[in-house]
Formats: sequence, C-alpha cells, structure tokens
Amino acid sequence: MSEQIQQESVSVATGETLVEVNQLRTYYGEGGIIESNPVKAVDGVDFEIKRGETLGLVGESGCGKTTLGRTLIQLEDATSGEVLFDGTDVTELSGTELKDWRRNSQMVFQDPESSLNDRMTVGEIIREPLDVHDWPTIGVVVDADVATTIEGNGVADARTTEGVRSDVTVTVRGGSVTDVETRDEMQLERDDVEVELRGDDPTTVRVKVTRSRDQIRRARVRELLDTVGLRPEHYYRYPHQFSGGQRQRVGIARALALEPEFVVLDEPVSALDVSVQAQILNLLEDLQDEFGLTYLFIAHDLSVVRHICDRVAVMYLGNVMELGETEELFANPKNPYTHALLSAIPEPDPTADRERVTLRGTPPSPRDPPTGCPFTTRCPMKIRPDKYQNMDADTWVAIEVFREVLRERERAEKSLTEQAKELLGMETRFSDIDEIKRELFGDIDLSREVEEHVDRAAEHVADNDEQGARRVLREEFGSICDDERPDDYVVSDTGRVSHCHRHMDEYTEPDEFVPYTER
Amino acid sequence: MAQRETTASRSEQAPLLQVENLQTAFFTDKETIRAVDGISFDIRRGETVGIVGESGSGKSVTARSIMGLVDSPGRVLDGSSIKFDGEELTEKSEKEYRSLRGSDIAMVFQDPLTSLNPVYTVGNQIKEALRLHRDMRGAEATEEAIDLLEAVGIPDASRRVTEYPHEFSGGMRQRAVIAMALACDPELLICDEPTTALDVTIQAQILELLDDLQEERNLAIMFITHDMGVIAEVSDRVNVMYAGEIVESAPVVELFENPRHPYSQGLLNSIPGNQPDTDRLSTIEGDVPTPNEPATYCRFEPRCPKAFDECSKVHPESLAVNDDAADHTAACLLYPEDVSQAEAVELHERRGSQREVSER
Ligand code: SF4
Ligand code: SF4
Repeated sequence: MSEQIQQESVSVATGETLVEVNQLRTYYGEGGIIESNPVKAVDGVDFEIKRGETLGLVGESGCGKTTLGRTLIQLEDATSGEVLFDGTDVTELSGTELKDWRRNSQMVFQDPESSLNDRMTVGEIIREPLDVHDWPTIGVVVDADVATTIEGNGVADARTTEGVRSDVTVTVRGGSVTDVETRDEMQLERDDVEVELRGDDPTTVRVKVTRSRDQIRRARVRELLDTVGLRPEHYYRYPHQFSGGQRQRVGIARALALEPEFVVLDEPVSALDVSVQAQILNLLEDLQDEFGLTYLFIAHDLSVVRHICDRVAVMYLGNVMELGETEELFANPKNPYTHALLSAIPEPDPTADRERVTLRGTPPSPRDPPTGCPFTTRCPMKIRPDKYQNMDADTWVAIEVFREVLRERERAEKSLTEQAKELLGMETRFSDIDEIKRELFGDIDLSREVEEHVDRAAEHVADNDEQGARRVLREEFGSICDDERPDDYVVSDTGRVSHCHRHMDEYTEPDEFVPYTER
Repeated sequence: MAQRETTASRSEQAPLLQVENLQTAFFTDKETIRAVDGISFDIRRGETVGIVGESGSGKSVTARSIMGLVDSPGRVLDGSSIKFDGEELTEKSEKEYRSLRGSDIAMVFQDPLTSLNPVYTVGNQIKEALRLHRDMRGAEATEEAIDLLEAVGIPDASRRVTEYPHEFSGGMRQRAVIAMALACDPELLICDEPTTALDVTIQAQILELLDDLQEERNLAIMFITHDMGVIAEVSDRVNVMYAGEIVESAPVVELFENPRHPYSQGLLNSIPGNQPDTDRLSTIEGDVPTPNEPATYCRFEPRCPKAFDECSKVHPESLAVNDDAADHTAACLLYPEDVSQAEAVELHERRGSQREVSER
C-alpha cells in the first residue's frame, strides 16, 4: 500500500508553500580542539509549510526540534541543505539582506521570564525591534495616469522594493493628487501625509510624513498592546510586575511588531498554568486569523499540539519520523515512534484503559546516533533476523539491554586514571562484565546459539574492546533497522509520510504489528 | 497505584498520614502570604493521594510543611496538626524531624539535582543514606546500593554506582533519587512534580516504576502535580487546591466524571485534550490570586462563572456534595446540592463559625 518517495520532498496539501526545507542538517561542535563527533541536532529533514497553516513540531528533549526552529529563521547556521522562503534560500543570506529578511520571521520563546529584559518597560521591549530595524519604512504606491517616480525621507516605492507593503496609496489624475489612503497598521492619518507633484514624464511624487517616527512607533506599540489583550497603561510597567500569561502576551506583541509572516513559537505555553495556557492558545489562533500568520509550533505537550496544529511533524534524534495531518496522525499513528510517544501521554481520564507501550532506556546521544534507523535502539517493533522471530520477549529484551549497556559504556567518559589502568591491563570499573551477564541473563535459559554470541561479545569486553563486542552482537542480532536508514514512505491518501522500514512490502506494517513484548 | 478497590474500604483503615487544618504562612515586610490556609486530608497505606493545582495554589508548600522543610520567613501556624502513624509532627524539634525525614517519610522533588550532591558519586550518596537510616556500611552498603539501583531499573548498576550525577540522564537521575528515597525504607513517599521535567516516554517509565514499588512495599504516596493526565493515572483520591485551600476532594473516577467545584470544572475544561473538536478552548479568565488575607469569602469568586452575591461574603467550607457522597467534598456555596441554596449558604456559615470557635 505504501510507495516509496523518489523526490526529496512531497507536496502534502494543496495551497501555496511558504517555507520549503530540503535535506537540512545542523551540527554543533565540529572542528573543536578536542577531536569529537559533532552533535547532529538536525540530521537531514525535508518538509514544507503552507502559507497560513500551523505546523507542529513535536518530540522529546534533545530531538532537535528547537534547533530546527532556530535554523529555519537563521538564529542558527545550517550545516547543509536549504531553507527556501518564497523560493529564496535564506541559509545563503547575510548582511543587510539577512537583516531585511529577518523582519519577516520572528520567534516567541518558551520562558517569558528570561526572554524579556527586566530593566526595560513593557513598551520599550515591544518597541525595540522597531528601533533596531528603523521602522517604519513607509511603502508608497502611486496609481497614476502618467509615469511616476517616488521620493521622500523614510519612504520606499512599494512597487519595486521587496518586502515593503503598500502603506500609503496616492492616486494621481490629470496632474493633481485626487486621493491619499493610509494603511491602519502604519499609525498614519490622512493629515500626517503631505504629497507634492513635480515635473512630468516622469512625474516625481514627493511624499512627506509630518508625524515623527517616534510618535509613529509609540502609536504602533499601543496598538500592539491592544492586539494581544493588554491595556494602554501597561506600556510603562516592568515585566516582573506581570503574571506569566501577561509576560507571554508581551513576548507575542514584540514578535508581531514588524508584521512578520512567519512565526516560530517555541514551547509558548509550556511554562504556563493550564487555565492561562488556554487563554494564550486562543489568542494565538485569533492573531493567525487576523494577520494571516504562518506558525511553526514547537512543543512537547501533545494535547496542545493536537488542538492548535493543522499538521504535525514528529521528531526523534534529529530526524522527522512521521509527518501528516494532525487528527489523522493522532488517531492512527503509522510510525512506531509516534505510536509509542502517543501511548505514553497520560490521559485526563482515569477510566481510560489503553495499552501502553513503555519504551526502554533513553534516546542515544546525538553525537553517536545509530547507523540505521534513529529509533532502532528503543523500537518495540524493530525488525528481527528471521531465525530469531520466535525468541521469547525476555531474552530479546535482555539482549537489547546488553547492547545498550555496551553503547553506554563506550560513551561514558573514562577518567584519565581509568584510561591509564586500562592501558596497564588493570582492573577498572568497566571490566566487571561477568556481573552484567549475570544481572541480565542470570534468570534466562539461553539457547546454545544465543549463548555463544553473548559469550563472544563478553570476551571482547573483557579485553576492553567494547566496539568489537558491539559488532558481534550487531552481526548476530541486528537487522536492516541497525544497518540502513529508512526511506520516507507515503502512508495515507493525504500524503502523510513515515520514516520506517516496516512500510516495505516484505514486512508487517507497524500498525498491524503487535510488539514482541506485548505477545 | 490504581488500587481503586482500596477506596471502598478506605474508612476502615487508620490513616498513615492525617493532616488537620494545616496553615502555613510566609511573613514578609509587606504582607502575610497564607500559602496553605486550613487544609485537611489523609493518606492510607498503599494508597496514592493526588494533590493537583496551579502555581501558587500551595501544593508544594503543603509537601514541605509535612516534611518539616518550611524555612523562615515561613511558619506552620498554631492550630495545625500533622499526624504520622498517630504521632503529632508539628511539635517535633528540628532534630527529631530530621530522623523522621530520612526514615519514615521521603520526598522526591521535581528537579533531581536538588537532591543529589554533584561532588559525590551516586553510590556514595545512597550509601550515606543507608548508613544514617539503616546503619549499613562497607561492602554490605555497596551491595545494597547496587540492588536499589537495579530495583529502580538502572542497568549496569555496578558501574553506575561509581558515577557522578552529571553522568546520568534526566530520567536516570530521577531514578537514582527514588533509589535514595527507598534507601531508608520509607512508609510514605511524597512526590512533588517528580516527572514534570521529564519527557513523556521517560515519565511513563517513572510512573510505572512508582506503581511497582508501591505494590511491592505497600507505600503510601502523596503525588503533587499540575498535570491532570498524570493525576488521573496515578491517584486513588484527588484533592484539588486553589489559593491555599482544598476546594474539592473525591475518589479519582468521581472527580473526573463529575467534578462539582466550578474551579475543578474549569480546570478540566481548559485541557486541550479534553476538547479536540472545539475551535476555542474554554478558559478561566484572570489569574490565580495571592492569598494574603484570611478568607472570609470564596477566593475563586472573581473568576467564577457561577458566582452569586453571597460568594463574596461567606467563606465556603468543605462539605459533602450531597447526602450520599461522604467521600466527595467541595468548598463551594452551591453544595450540598440536595438542599436549597439559602440552606446551603447557611450550612457553610454555621460550619465556619463552629470552626472559628473550636480554634479559639
Ligand atoms: S525502521 Fe525499524 S527500528 Fe526504525 S521505526 Fe521502523 S521498525 Fe522501528
Ligand atoms: S462559592 Fe460561589 S464563587 Fe465560590 S466557587 Fe462556589 S459558586 Fe463560585
């Protein structure tokens, strides 16, 4: 039923694309003094965001969702790949181009406490981006029966300058100005604009704004306060005088100051109480309707995401594991990780009787992600080699834990003394392998074959060769999940994609497969 | 947890912990904050009692009061009573409290790093607890520490005991803290938002662990959280706190199926998961007030959609919501629901003045 995707990106819904992300990677800590693997925070993701939609980005801490959000708006440098906004690759922008583009994409942070400067008044905080970007540049369009050019201080020709809106519209007929209109967000009245015509062919339209920039900015801030549900007198208060919900409103007003199209919301309600959280979510939805905003909503709280997002991308260890329409994905998750994640959420219903998949262990380090599928170390549906299909759950889990312990050990920093001891062939805390074997396999009847491999691995460990031990186990008990990165497969009519080998014809689909541990 | 059958026979067992009219206040130059303002509840062996509330509701101060961990300028006020296994705790000296803390009552905090010392190995910290409370030392203690780490599901425990807290992941640290709490073989475990800082899949592991431990050891657990989903999952009984008071108390199923207090109703309604199909979330307008004066009125009144005149004049007492529901109480003038409103208000007034008299 599923078909493999040939192209790097899939069009998921109809509608205009605002953001397109292709094979994006963001790595940290490369080329440091100490030779170490980089943190692969975002490791090759593809997706699109439609104009006016809310795309949710969910996953556990360390999965790379915040880095991804920050990379999209260039607060973080991409290591490779593209981020196209309206077709322009913003990872290539720098200098003034980048600064200009930045107005268009803003971020609201999780913690309104630390993201607002406590020494500035609320008014100053909201106004700051206006000052930084020397707002406003007033965009002028002229509707004339002759050729015209536009002139004036702080004025730009909206017909030719990118990113400038039509703030003032001047109508010229028969050599005189017949009408001047101003856009509300600009805080200008008709009286604040003087227009003069000079010469002909082309006619120069001189636009002079008589209201000072300072006045205009202040009026804009007042309007923003009102937009986010704060009162005019809040202008002169300080953030610490505000409740968490009010502070988040300030953060939102600040993000909206420059009229962005795209807003990254990074856990915007996680620090708030439930009752206040609902107020902020409602506000965000209202603002989206009013200003046609496009949101990337980063969150770990899945019930919030389910409520507010049109589509959701589920991330794990730098990869998007599943992406599709929200309701569909929540009602019938296709990817094994999504399935496990959803089943872990406690439902506010004490009578709910669900089977829960409790995952073992923790995600591996993003410095050393598995070669194959990112979820392979914890996946309860992981593909097994044919000959171990019927191995009992306890033995399988013991082997998986054994592999995890070895991986952990390789990762655990060995102190200098320990390294020295190891070189001298002395006992270290890392060499008590027999004890581990006893702990893990003590109560289990191993088949001859399994025992042989476990013993061989143990010998490698005893020789301080953890890597060798891991290899032995991988060769015997591993599968395609350990060796190959899964492709993205389209798994529903609406174009949902899932990143898992089980969507290949030769394997049982994840949603039809009963995890070994639950049999 | 989820030993719901215990709730039926609840009243026959003597409570392990009995809190009566607990009042804890913080005295600053400007004001007196009545963080916990006259709450009463109890916990039995093998039972999990959930305390749910938003920030500023007083739920954490309640835990700290029971643990004897309220620091100046805070104080547990006279007239408060906390009985553990029949013994009054409020009269204990700091020294007596300390021995109780490690041995009979243990606490797990939201941030495991507050309970772990960064400069000692995890093993040494567990061994220290074993030495203090169970007089174990040397190889015996090491052995027991390893067993405890295994009991809380930490693989490769014999290596892990030699590691420092920073070498543990968040979930593993919380397991280590639970192991430390178990080192003193407590009867009551107080968990203050123990999974709030953790990811859901790790939270699920910790909740499962607590559940197993409870069953094995017949632990009484007091579980504090703001998360209604977690409360639903772990509790046998739930107390809802608002601005220092318990506004509703009921068996978990009853509370979720039939919440009576307007605040509990609002809280449940504002959870996004409870209303996936609605466009707008229902909210509780306004913010949680700071309780800085004695309540002679309903503290929820400014935000309550059902408020009426008397709400700002009469203090609602915790009363059974109706005649047949002895274990379901609400502090709201709308209850008991089986009498007229005027009668209900009078009941609350009468109960309030009785309480004042008995406090004198
Ligand atoms: S590819 Fe394998 S390990 Fe990865 S999610 Fe699918 S079944 Fe699990
Ligand atoms: S006492 Fe009045 S204000 Fe308070 S919760 Fe009940 S109805 Fe609402």
